[in-house]
Amino acid sequence: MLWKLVKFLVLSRVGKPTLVLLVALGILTSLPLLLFHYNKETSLTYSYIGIFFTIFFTLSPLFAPQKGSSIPGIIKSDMDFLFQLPIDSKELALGLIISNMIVSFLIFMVGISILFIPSLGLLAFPTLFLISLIPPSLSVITYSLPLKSRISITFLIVLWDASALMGNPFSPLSMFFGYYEGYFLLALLDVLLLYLAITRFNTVGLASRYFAPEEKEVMKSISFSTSTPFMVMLIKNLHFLEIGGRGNILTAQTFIVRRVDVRWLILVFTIIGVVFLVLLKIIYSPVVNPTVINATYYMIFAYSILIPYMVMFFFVISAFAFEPLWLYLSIMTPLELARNYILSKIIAIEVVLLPYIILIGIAEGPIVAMDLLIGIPLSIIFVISTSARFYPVNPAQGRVNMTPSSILFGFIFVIPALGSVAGAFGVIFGVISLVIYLVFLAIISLPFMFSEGYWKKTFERYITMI
Amino acid sequence: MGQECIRFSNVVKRFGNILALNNVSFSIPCMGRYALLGPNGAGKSTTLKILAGLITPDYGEVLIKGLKPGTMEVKKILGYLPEDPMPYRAMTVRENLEYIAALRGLPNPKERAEEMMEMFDLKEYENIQAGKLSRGNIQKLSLALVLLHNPEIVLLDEPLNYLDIPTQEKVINELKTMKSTFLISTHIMSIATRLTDHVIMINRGSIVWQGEINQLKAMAKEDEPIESVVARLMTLGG
Repeated sequence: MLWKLVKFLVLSRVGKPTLVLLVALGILTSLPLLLFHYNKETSLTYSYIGIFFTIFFTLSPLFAPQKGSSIPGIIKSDMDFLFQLPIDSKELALGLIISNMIVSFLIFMVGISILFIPSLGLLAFPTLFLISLIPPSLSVITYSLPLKSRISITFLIVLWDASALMGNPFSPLSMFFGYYEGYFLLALLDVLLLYLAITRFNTVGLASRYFAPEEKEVMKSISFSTSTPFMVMLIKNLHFLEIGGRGNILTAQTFIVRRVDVRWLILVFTIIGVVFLVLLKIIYSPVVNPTVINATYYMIFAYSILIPYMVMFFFVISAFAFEPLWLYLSIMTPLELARNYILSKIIAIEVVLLPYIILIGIAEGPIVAMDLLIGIPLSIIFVISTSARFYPVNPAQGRVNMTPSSILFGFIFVIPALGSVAGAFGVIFGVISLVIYLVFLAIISLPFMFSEGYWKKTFERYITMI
Repeated sequence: MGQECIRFSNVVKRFGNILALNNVSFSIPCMGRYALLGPNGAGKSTTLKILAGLITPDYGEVLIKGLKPGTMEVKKILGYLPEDPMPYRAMTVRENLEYIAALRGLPNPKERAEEMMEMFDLKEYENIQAGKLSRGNIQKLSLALVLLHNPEIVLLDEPLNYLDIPTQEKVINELKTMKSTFLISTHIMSIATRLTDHVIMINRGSIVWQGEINQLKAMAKEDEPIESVVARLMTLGG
């Protein structure tokens, strides 16, 4: 029965072609890395990255909504039909967690195995499998707890994980530093979490939270006055940006849009910029401290460029997912809508990132700042235009199953992000590489801003989906 | 018959192998109140989307007051409500109304938003994000957004979905006071009889009957409900 349930749950979220694609991509990405692991000495950087991602996934249930129709891992069809079936609640919990674990493992194989294999070799696979159980079980354990308890439990696990960085062999992640105890402790953590999740799982409790009303007043609302459509859209984007959108949280594709105040965002990115400035200019500067290994400096440098690209991605990935196209298109043409929408987003995101870019410019020079200042807007055009066309979202559904195109779309982001890092590194060796990257980005992105036919077809696809 | 406001002539629309509309023709005079009646999947929503300029027909001619749908002139005079509409999720009720009013270039968006909230009893939800409203209140907000600019031509796809009975009555009365041309898509006959006086009956992408509602009523046998007449016509046509 459990096997049947798991099979049903997996296939109700991810279709067979998607599963095949995930397995194929997993094999394709991991094989060359296995050869790399067994033929070359691996840098410790991969261990740090592996721990960073594990902590990130452990923290992920904290950011997922615990109320309303966005409880991670659960879809409305589960509430409407699955929970009505005469299945033991413990079996149901086990089925949900195992199905989440299987799909998360396959996603991790494609997405992050490249970061685990260099350090762990073949043992990266059982490690990833064990790590995939943490978010769904933690989510089931903590969904009904008050925020303080959720934070406390999550941080206890994170601290235990992070103690591996201090050389603690009794951390569940100590395998990244060569301690075999890590595998045993990670399995032990999984068993504990699974036990707690099964005993705490309660369909009635979940359903009452799922269907709980979400009405909550917005304290500071925006006032609009008559102006050009572009200005009106810009005013909206300068007040708040949406974060989230096309994303996968624990198997079920969840489309969450959160309102984030732009002023807070500016403050947060200024602080992050200052941290990078201190790290790059003072602590790890190769000039001030020539004994520090350059690899660390370059890793921080790479992150300082990757982070604004990741931020950009989070801000634009909801593009057109929840836009009332039926209203917009009754006011402007498809091309006008695309231009107004993209340009107003570009300006708002550049305003948010400007202090950060200036600080990185102070740390790394004006050419790196130019890389971000020009590369990010061009990437916004590219990501919005391609996601709108190749990863359309049906707003009436709210959630959709993961499809092969949505997986492949994830790789589109790699082009501008890695290109930018390569371009920025290129600055160190020659400005020409940056120029080549920016020209390439301009060639693949700018035509979208002039093609009436492209946007007409794109929006027609959205309209006929509803 | 007055001036023609909507012309839909020999329209064909395919989605891959599915023939959604098969040579559909009708016209609606200005100030006319027409219902587009048909079962699920008949082609009603496709007809409205083509009229709203959201999708283009593969063949045929579509004109709104002599102009092509989707042009700026038509956008200014047209109001279209899709089935299961979703306004801007992250924005509050008030923000949605002001935002769309400002985008439409209406004078004083704030005042207009206020009027629409009063009209649709949305005042108590003005600071609630649309994504967090009940389905009924989302429908009311969507209707308010569509009628913000007092459109001359109104296309409504199942406008009374999710509304409770008192709200349905309120919306029906509001729509009746408007001096616009109406094309209302529904599969519920009672909505058609309350809001319109003409019916275009469509099934499997083809028109099976069109005429006045009174003619339809006259076709009923003794004690036969009008729904039975409609079902009979649709079966014959299908």
